[in-house]
Amino acid sequence: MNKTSTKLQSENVYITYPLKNGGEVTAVEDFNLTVEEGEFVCIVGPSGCGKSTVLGAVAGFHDISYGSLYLDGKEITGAGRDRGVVFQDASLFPWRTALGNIIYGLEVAGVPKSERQKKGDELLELVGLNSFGSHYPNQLSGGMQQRVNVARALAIEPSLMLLDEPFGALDAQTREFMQLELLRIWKATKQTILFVTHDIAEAVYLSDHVVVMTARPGKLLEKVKIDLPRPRPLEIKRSKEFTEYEKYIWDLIVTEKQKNVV
Amino acid sequence: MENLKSAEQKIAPALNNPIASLNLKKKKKTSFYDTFLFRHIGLITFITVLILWELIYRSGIVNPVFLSSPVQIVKVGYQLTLSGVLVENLLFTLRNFITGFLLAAVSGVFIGLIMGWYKPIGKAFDPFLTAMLGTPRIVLLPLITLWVGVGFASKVLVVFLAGIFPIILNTMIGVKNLDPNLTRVAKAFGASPIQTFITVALPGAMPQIVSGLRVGIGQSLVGVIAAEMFVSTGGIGYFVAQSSANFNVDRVFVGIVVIIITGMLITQSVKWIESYLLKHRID
Repeated sequence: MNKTSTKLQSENVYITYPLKNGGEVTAVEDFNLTVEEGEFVCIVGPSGCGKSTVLGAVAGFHDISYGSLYLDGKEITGAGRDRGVVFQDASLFPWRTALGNIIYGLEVAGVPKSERQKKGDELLELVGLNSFGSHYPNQLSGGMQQRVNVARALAIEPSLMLLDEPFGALDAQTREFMQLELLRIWKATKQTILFVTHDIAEAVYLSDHVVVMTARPGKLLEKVKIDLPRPRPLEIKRSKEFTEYEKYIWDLIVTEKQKNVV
Repeated sequence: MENLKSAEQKIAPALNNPIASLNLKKKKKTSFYDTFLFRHIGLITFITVLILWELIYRSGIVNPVFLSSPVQIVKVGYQLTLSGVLVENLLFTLRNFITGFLLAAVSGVFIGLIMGWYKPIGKAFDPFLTAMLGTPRIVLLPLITLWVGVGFASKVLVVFLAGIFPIILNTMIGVKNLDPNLTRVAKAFGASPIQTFITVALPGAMPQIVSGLRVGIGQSLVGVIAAEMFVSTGGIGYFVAQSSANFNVDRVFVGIVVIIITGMLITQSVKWIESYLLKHRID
């Protein structure tokens, strides 16, 4: 048994939204999850299941209504630099170069310029954009923009990385390649990652654990341990074990959906 | 044999691609849009109008008390430049204009950022903004002269008031329309409100700020000239008004031409500033 410390803990978390007519809607219900240090955990579920809402709450973008969220044993009360967020649409500052975007967090944290520069160059190298540091976002492809997005989150050396469907808008080939790259970066940085996606194959390929959520109100249906060897080449997606995981999770979601329809 | 070979080469493209070769034939008859005339049609029209104008002047149809001619304008303009009158007046105007406009730009952007960022403040002062934007600010001139006299301050104030409102409005709109995703990025990276303001609001609103400056600069120019025409003892606006009062139509035209050129140069410099500030938008 490996001795690991708990990175993220979610206890009985409820998240509700007020409605215009005065009522409220429960987006996430009784959500319990533990993420260990160094783990790669994906949350999957049908659209509207509240998976991004969970991520947003961990990021500190919105409050939870009940329960508690702990990061490194400390309760999460708002946004902070101990979490690195990789946004769905790259959300890069269009007036900053790739390098300028990457070092944004360091700049805001008041890290001296020479140090920022050094860190920025290292990260450009890590995400494979060595010669693109002075390019503006509109001169970069979608995949490159997401690399900058990932590097920007890594720059502040967060305790936990939060990725919200970062490859959703990319074409299929770029997406697969970016998944491979992300695993490489994850291994190199030894980060803990919480990753939201609606793509089951993506979740199985990347994760140690896949968290399956039900739709409205979002509940944790099952936490599936993915026992595939690492490093995982892309070919693993064609293996029998892989497709079995995929089918298992797919069935979970579909059965749950049918229950709701009936 | 040589002839045959070259002839073959000539028809080869046509044989290989008959459709393209048809187009090639068509192109031989130069289309109007490729002619020298079309490419320089603006300049040609301009010169034609100048020549017609000169001819009308020389024919004596119009009383020369009311009309100058291009040649006259150049001649008189040259004399006035040599004597230093023109330069002196122009510098006088530019000093008023630059002082007033810089003040308007700095405070306009600042006020606009605040009004856009803090919604209650924006809402509170919106009626004033609406009232001022709908009014030709020159109506304030009598009040201004009453308060600060007819000196330097009055012109600076007119320029300032003429330019500041469009700058405030545009800056405010720019801040209001910021991409909420980008403000969320700032939040995620732990930026303080002031840091968010400087790193997101200001650069994010820059395109709108620049368009506000462009509108403001035009209105400030109107302001300075108008103010000089009514209450001044110097400046290019004063020069035009004075020359008109003395029935010196040539000088009036010279003054107008100088104002036109100044306006064009200022507009051009705004374009330079724009392309510098928004360089990330250019591929």
